[in-house]
Amino acid sequence: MLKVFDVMSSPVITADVLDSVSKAALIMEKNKIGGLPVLDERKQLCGIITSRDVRRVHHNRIVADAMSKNVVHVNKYTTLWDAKSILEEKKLERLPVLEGCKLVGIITRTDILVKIGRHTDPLTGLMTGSYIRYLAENILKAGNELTVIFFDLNGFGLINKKHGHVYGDRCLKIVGQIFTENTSGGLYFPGRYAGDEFIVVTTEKKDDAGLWANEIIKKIVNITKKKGMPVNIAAGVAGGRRKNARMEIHLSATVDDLINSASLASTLSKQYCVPVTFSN
Amino acid sequence: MFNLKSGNSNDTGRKAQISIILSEFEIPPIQDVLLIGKKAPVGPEAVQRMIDVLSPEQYEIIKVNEGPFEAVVIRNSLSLLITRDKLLNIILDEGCKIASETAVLKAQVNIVLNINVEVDL
Repeated sequence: MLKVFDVMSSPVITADVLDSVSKAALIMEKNKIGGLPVLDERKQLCGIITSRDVRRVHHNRIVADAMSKNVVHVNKYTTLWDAKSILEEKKLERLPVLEGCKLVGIITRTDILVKIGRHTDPLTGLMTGSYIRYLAENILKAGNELTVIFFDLNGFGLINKKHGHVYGDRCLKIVGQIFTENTSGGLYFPGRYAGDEFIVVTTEKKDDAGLWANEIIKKIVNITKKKGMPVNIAAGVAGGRRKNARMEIHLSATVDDLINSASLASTLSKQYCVPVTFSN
Repeated sequence: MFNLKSGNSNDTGRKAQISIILSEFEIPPIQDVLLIGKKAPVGPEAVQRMIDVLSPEQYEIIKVNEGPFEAVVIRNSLSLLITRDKLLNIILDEGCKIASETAVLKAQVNIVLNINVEVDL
């Protein structure tokens, strides 16, 4: 998962609590930024001053008399999605980033949206395959179990040919939405791999992952049927049965192997008309 | 007074006059009450630091959102004669009539207690 420290600006340009407002304004203008975290005499974060605050008060004032106190901040290990939610909920533009009590960076709404946008599939709203691969490598790097589930829509080419690509896109959107709605617990991470293929990675064991995949397939079949766009989907599961720690240098190759195995297993599911097949 | 001599050979006799007024610096400089406007050149945090240095523990800063004012500084000793809220209401009522958001007003408050006691002879 992308964390705040992957995106934040560091080191941070700050203002001192006893600086004049005009000095803070000058720093903002010189650095072309819209806000400054404010540090007190102990160099601890005590406020934030924005260009809006500067416009609101007399320039002779000290920063302490213009800044917003009770600053909303995040830890450097907060996920980008959590940081985005905080910004939206509190209607803020930037968040100072702390490590313990120390200010280590600042992150803006634009930084987050650009980074998330780069890894988001515009049609389904799911993460891209490349991001899920990155996530899978990180799961392995952290020494966790990794299971890959590969989903493939059955006969999607025919759907496109029969009903047109706009209809096909609507189907994909619905499927993407079902994945999003059923992965909010933080155990399963879904992405659109390519075309009509979806990938989910998890730290759950393969048997649990298989059960989860079965449930998702049932939901997809039922919901798309109800919406008048019936689709069938097959899944393959790989990994999730690790006994020994992996060598870090092979992480990328391991992820490739697992994706490939899960993909082949999903092909077998299609061939034998079963919802889920486990890779050997 | 001293003469300013220009290097010009055509001296026109220009002079500068300096007058100096010496007076005692008031400690504390804010008398009894200070009313701080929302857009005043000095804010309550700066005043707090000033009184902490110049007159520690003698004043209280009360944040308000009344008319043009952001904060009121009141000398603690006044609260011995009249309750803080009563005094605050009177001061804000009067201050609101004359001040703008950019103003910093200082006020001298004299409280005279009239006491009549009847005793048996």
